[in-house]
Amino acid sequence: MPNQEKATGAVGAPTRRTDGREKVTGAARYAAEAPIPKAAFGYILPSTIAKGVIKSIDTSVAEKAIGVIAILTPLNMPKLHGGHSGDSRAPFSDMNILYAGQHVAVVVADTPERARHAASLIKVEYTEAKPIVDVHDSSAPLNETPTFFGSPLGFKEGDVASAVSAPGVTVVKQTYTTPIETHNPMEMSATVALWEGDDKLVVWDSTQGVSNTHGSLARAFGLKPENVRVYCPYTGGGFGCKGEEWPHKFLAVAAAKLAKRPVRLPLTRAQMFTNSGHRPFCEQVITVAAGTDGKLKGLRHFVLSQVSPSSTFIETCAAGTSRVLYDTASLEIVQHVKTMDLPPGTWMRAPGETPGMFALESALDELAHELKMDPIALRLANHADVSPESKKPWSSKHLKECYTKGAEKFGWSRRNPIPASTKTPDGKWIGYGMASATYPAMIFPGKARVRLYKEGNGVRAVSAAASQDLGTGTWTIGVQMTATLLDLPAGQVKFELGDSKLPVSGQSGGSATAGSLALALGDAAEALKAELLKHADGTPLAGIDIKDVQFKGGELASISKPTQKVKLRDLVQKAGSEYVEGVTSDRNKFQPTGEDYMANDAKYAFQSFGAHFVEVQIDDLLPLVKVTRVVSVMDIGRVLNPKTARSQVIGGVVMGLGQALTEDTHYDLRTGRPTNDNFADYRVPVNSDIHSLEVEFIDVPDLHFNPIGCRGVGEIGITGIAAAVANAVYNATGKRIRDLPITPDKLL
Amino acid sequence: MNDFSYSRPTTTTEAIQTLLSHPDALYLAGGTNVIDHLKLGVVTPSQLVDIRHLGLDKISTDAQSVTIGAGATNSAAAYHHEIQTHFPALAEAILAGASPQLRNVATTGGNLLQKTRCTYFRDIHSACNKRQPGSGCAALEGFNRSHAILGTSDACIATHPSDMAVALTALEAVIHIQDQSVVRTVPIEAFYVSYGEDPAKENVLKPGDLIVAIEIPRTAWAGHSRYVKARDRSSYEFALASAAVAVDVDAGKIRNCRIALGGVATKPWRAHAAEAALVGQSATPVAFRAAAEAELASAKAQKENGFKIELCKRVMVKALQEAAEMRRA
Repeated sequence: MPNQEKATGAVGAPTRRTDGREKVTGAARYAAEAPIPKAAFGYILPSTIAKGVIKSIDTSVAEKAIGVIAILTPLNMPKLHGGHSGDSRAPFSDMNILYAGQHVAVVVADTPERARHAASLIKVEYTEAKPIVDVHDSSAPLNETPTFFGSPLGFKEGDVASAVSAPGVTVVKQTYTTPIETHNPMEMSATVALWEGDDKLVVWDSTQGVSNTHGSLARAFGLKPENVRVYCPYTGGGFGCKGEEWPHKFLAVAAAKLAKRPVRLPLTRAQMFTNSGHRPFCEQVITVAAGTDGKLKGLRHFVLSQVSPSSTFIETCAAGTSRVLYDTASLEIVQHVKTMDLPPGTWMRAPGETPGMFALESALDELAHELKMDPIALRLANHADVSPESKKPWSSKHLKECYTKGAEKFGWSRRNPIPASTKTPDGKWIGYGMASATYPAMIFPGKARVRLYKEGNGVRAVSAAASQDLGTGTWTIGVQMTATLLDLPAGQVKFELGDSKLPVSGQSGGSATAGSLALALGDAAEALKAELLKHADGTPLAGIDIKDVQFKGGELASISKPTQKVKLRDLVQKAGSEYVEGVTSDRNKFQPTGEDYMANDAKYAFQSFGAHFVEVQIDDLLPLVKVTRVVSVMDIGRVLNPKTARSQVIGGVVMGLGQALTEDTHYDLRTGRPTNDNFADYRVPVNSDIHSLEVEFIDVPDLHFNPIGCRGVGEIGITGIAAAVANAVYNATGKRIRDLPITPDKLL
Repeated sequence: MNDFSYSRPTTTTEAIQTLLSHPDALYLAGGTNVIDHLKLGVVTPSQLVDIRHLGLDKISTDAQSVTIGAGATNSAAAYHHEIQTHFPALAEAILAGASPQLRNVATTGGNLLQKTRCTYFRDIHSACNKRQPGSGCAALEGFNRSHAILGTSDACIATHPSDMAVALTALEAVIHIQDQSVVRTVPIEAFYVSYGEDPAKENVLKPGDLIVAIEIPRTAWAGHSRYVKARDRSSYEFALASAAVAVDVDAGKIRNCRIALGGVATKPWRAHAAEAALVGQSATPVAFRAAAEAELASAKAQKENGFKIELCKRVMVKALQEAAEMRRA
């Protein structure tokens, strides 16, 4: 657990990560490094075919290899009782192969090398079928009315067809394609499983949802929830690929049972390309029509994406973009999906918004060019003053300030609107581009607890939630939020997470962790206040209405009569127990349909916004795009910690630059196997690709959303950035690239 | 990864003898290629013969040449003052390759023998004539965006991946090779062989042969040399196309020049046609472009790599422009 002694700031302070020292010194133990002695090592044998049936698995030679303890295959896998996700089938539940790289066997041995070698000795015979991997293959099953989580993805409001054909409108209709991308966190997924007897299970897992993994494993193996413990003190990046209950988790637990030993089961880097999801391919057609004033008369957003036969995940590009960003007189959304024999797709940082914003914000730039309007003016002309989706007012929206502040900081007024007309003194084309950013503000149900202990002359607070820190700074903001809620110096506060025994938490996905934790901690702090007041007899606060009481400088004090107050220490003392505790209530306020904060759902729409400004420079002879400057201005409610929030936006921008310029998971169209499943051939940006990145925040609390006023910041940074780059490339060269990534060959 | 033994000879003779008596053994130097391929199952040696302790890591200079020990790391060569000053294209080429961590362990001898990055060569479940002669070439009808346009055959279209070897080819380096009796010298252009029928045979090394040094002659043009590399990201990335050029320009006329290409050919590609087209010409963009056209006339595109023909021409022009500028400066 991080040493939190150095946490000094409440909410708003640029506090250093409380876990920073542990991470840079290597003291932080990630799942694969769980302190479990005598753990054996598992290695997963992948399928080399993409479609077919396993005819036979011969493990006889492998079993005799040095160091081998056990081999798990579909033939000796115990039946699971649910809990799995990501891949729709229960792991090892049948002999069908639905994608290349599918897990086929797990070898457990005393060293990782021996496990890997023994896996190569397993002989698997397949009956092979021809996979469909090419999106242009007309024999791929096409679904023109897909649903996602039970909801249809199509939408229609007004008459786009008439708007587009009306006289005097300017119409842009273009197709934008984005390739399959892979998350590639630094830490590869890993599960370490330890059975204590037949009915108790301890697991260390690299996960985006400690409580989810806990519930899933208990269910799958038919165990009492209190007999399962899941730890995840650190997650080395997730970006969505650790958000589902992928097969390897269950294989690790089953293998540990079979081997009668704890088992460490990490995925290899190559397996991270096939067994923990990817962002699906998308082909989007945007049709947009506007009058001479730029007002949108019609917007049609067509999406074709690919889905795996063993997954229900759909990349829904329009729902989070065209439905929410602009005020258009008519809107039509159509989504089709093609089933291709590829591994399951999944959530990847701003799923839907990331490809969706590339298409929409590129199309807006094309429209601005056609209308001879400044791209910001076009966006301001279509600013959505209320939510286009729900017609409700926004809880808090400052997008216009994002444009203004960003334009000024970037120097947007120096942009020459005529493409391919500006060069640097050393002869490179220079271009400016911008795009909006947006991401919804979400809450996942969850709880937290806050305990107060006596310490010295004062108190010490320890708050906790099962939760998890993906590297985003949850450890740190947990301290800061608790310190703010209790009005204590952060040095007197500790925060615990990463343990399923702690109060249940939602997943870290949808940028929901900070807001959900703020809500849970806020309610726990209120409960603590009530607990403390139970011991207020004989104090100046005896009999006071709780609504008139606040935490103030180490005391509980009346709001209306501030001189009426009691030291927190005295109340803990009077309670006579080791600590006084407040826990998030069981009221259903943490359900999206509930009361209180989320009841505001009836009154408000919750959404974050931002704007990116990008400068590119491109050599005339060698068209290698260099992104020389990025300015991003984000409206994410109250900024909990400017340091960690800035890092989140920078991380999103860098990932977006990868989307724009280099990233593309490529499959052999004959075999369905990825051809670039490693860090040399799958190109994430490297340091030398990254130049000046500046981040600014509007920093206005959204107090309709939670008592701290924060919305999440993990995902919004990536939205819009690829469009801003493509728009800048157009401004620099006059070449409009609608097919990502923008590699040199496309600019020749 | 199969079982293998490990030995650490103390003399070059002992190392060569070990290789000769164990035909399935491999030399291990920096290991950046061999260890990777061991893990992938691309190589399955019976023994690794560690040659890092043979004293082959020295870099020496005299009036005629610079000699880089085959065991010198890429970093040691790239940051050597004499090389930076008098053979700039070589320093630039080395620093354009891999990452600092890799360059700190990878050796110059090993770099000459670097294996292709062709995805099918690295995937033991794919057909590959270079890895498994006679099995076919999965790249011909597969993913071949990064593959070669020069020197290809129906058996193989894999590129030679080295940056350093391209600069060495332009600088007409000489490879010193030791066998059990003598050290012989082979000009780098003769060191690499064309693929022909057997793409597994990439060079003239015989069993047991040990590269001990790389010698680079001083010339009137080596000091005005440049390495230009086009790639999909700005570091830690193999070339889509690269060019090492050295020019001797006098009063605006090209008296002499050497050009080699990388990322586009099955071996470091000496551009003789371009050189011939340039000698005696004025150092102008038009002449540079004409030379590039002459060299690429024989290029053959695959389904996904046709762009390399134009890109390579531009890389050549860029490198020639920059090298000619150096002369003026």
